[in-house]
Amino acid sequence: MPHWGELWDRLRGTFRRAPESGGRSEREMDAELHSHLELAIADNVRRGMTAGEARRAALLSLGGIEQTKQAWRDQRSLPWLENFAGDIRYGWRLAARNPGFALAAVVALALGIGANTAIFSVLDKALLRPLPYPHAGRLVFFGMLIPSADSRPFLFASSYVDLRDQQTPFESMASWRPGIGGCDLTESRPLRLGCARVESTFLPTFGVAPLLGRNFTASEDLPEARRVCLISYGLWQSRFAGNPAALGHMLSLDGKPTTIIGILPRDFAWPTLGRVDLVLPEALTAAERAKPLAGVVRVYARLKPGVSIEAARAQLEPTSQTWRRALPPMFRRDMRLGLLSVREDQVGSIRRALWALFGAALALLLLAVANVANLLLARGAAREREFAVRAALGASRWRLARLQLIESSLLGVGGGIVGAGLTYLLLRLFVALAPAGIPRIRQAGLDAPVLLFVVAASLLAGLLCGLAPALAARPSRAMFAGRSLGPPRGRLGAALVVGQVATSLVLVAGAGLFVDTLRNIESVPLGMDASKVITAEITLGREAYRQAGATSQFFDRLQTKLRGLPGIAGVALGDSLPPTGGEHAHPFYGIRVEGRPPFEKGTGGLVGWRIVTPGYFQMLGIPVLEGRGFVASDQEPESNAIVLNQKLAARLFPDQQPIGGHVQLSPPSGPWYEVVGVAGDVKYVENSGLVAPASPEYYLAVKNAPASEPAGADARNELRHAFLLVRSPLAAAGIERLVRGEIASLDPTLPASISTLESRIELLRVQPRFNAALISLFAALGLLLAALGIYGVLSFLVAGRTQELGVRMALGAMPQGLVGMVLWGGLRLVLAGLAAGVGLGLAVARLLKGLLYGVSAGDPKIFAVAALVLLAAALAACAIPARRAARIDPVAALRNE
Amino acid sequence: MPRSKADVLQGTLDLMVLKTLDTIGPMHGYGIARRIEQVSENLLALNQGTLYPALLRLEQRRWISSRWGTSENNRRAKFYSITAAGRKQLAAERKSWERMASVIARLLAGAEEA
Repeated sequence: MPHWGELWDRLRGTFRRAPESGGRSEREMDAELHSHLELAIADNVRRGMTAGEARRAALLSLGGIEQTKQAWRDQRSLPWLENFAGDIRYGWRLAARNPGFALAAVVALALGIGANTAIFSVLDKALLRPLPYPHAGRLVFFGMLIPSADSRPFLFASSYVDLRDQQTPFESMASWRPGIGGCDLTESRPLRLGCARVESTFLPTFGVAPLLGRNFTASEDLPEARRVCLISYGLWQSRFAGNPAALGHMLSLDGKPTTIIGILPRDFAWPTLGRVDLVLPEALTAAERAKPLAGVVRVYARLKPGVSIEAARAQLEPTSQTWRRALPPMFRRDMRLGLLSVREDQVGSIRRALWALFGAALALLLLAVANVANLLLARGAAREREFAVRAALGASRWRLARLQLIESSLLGVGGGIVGAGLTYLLLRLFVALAPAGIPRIRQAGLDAPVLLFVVAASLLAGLLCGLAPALAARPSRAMFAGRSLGPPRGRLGAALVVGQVATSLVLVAGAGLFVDTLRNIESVPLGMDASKVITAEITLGREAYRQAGATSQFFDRLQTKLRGLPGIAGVALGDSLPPTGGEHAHPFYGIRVEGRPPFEKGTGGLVGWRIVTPGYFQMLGIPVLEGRGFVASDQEPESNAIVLNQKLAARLFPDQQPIGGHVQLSPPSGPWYEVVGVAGDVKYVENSGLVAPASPEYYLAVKNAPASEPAGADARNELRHAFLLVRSPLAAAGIERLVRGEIASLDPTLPASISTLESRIELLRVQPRFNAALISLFAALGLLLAALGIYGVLSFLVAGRTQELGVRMALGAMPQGLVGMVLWGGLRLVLAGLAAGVGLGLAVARLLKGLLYGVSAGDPKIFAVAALVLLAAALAACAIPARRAARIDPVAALRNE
Repeated sequence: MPRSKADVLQGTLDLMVLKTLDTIGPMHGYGIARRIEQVSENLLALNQGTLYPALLRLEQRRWISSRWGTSENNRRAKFYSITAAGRKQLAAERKSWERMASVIARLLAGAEEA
């Protein structure tokens, strides 16, 4: 058990004035010993000794004044700490005496530590930090995974209802309707909200209790129940200023009255990380619950304690076979059971990218460490005499190594402090580069775990760079040789250079791969022209636009008003926009072509479709390759024009002219459509930013008035959720304002999200851009560090060989010969490093495969360019010491001896 | 140094100092040393110098306190006195010492019988 009082006093004693210089306690100790001796002598005299005898006896029984004092001092402070503090003071003085050296080392380490910490901070929030739910490790997301239909697992509501009655590995389950839908707060201040429709078990499954109010009950989760909702903390603050009276308040949501019954907690995060303002009951209809293949839901569940994901998968496997049998034939083979942790679902493709970036940052740190190690090695040579003297005075090898390690740790700590500042700047850069696409990036900052990481990284980096000189120090050898620049130190430095070159080659080649990927993604023709197009996303509520024809009236008036404005070259509407997929799709085999037998069931994958107005193709720059695009007469209700994309046309009419052909769409009871045109294919840009090939699609014209059809029915050609497209040569900001104004003049309660089409596409490319930008930054810094490292080692070698070179010169060596010798000495190391780097790089690049587009992981061109870049940098770094070698004055060099 | 004199065991010095101060009240370092030697009837070879680090340690542990004063023959000396915490510690150490002593005594007695 430590005595805190003792520890405290001794700590204070340690940091008071050094005892040798005679502090207050030192004087007191002297006084006490003096009084002890006086008392003892007086006592002895009283017992009959002479003054001399009395004094000798007193000293004898005390047992030595100096020993006593030393034991006393040791008790007064903590000797090991005192030694340690002494070493630190010494290291500090050494650094202060050579500020250029210290600065170079600190900057190099700060670069490495800063880059690592910034990436770690992002990584920590995205991948490592526990999700904000109790026992989050037990939360899973599962369903049927059918890649050709949906990238994420789902279930049909009927299967889910069946599952609830069965034995499952789950403690609880909750379904919700896929996607956070837009819903509109149709009040005096219109607002587009993110709304999620969930089962009543949803919040309890996640272990989340409302901050205020309550969750809805199972009976409130029925379609006929009174409408209730929970609102997010953010909405509560912004709309109700955090007033508890918001509970019970009636909202007008898509024109329907909805009562607020609860407020979600402040830190509540939606499991898919989307922004959710409002949670509504899922309200599955009786038909959805009962009919197979009707409603689609996503399902979250909480595993029973102690049940692993693998065990749950095994237990669900038989059930998934019944799901499979219920599927249409085309999906059966494709289907498998999808079951993954909520974390895994959230992180998806970004995981690999973040680890890759972390690896790059780590490589940068290693380069920095190698550089500082080299600097220390070079300086270690100059300090050999000092170490020899210390060793001669009895310092152990460990004590000398400790001195070096403490010194280099000081550099590491300096690097950490500067690096933390750098982290702050880098994080701001990250957020600017990737506002979306990386989970929780905005939360990344210098918090406790990140600071801990900084401390650990700086100490580790500092110790690592001190390791080389500590190991290389051979004081005894130096004593006997007097002066030594022998091979061991040179060999260590050479090995460091080879390692540095190899590491930076991997970095540069990696950067090349990512930059090439980005360039490929940006230069691949999507099959459309996004420039000068402004988009506005609008959803007309089912209540407010209930009457037949109300929606088409609204869009007609909006288009007419916009067309009349100056500076607007064209206006069009569509229910979805490339380069993302359409809102709708159905199986390919559901299509019939007149005069041909039906396609075999279960073949052909999915066909997507969009409904568009006549100007759509022109507006998006999608070429009409055959026939014509839509015209105004195609919008009449009786017209049955259809435009196919190239891919679908080739599949439906492999050996004949598609124009004039007739097709019947799924379901087969519908009308026959006449093919009037074939439009060019448009590629898809996926969420990861990578480009996917186009898939078969067709387009239908938006109808003028759905006339007889009842409101709310799923009229195929009715627009409710629409993208307005406006092409104008004018500045985007002005047009955006104009469009917003026109929408508000028609319906002031209607929210619209307006942006340029280019920025919509840019958003999809955030991830590859982030990867390319960061890794290029790291590679550039790494290259710089490697070049500096080569320069440092060669300069050191040349300096060490001054006499040898002088002798050679005196014996008639030509300066060019000496330059060549020094250059070759450096290049040999560089070439060895390049060879090692190519091998290492090929191995590492294979891990990056899923992140690359249009470039193979082992692309020889990229590796060759990377090697050349490094070679050039290395040559430049070698040139300076080589020139110095050529300028050596033999007389001066020899006189030095 | 005669072999028959016992060296002071590590740790027992603390106990002796505390007991001494508890018995005779405030005393200076020399007095404490003399007192311990007298009580042991000069059987203990107390290296008086080792007393001072021990006194410092006890003071750091807040078991004794010190203050400068004047000795019986009018000399300046530092006087130590036991604190309340020191008395508690003394009681505890005494108990553990007695337990230890009795264990050893029983062990030795057993060994003789065998």
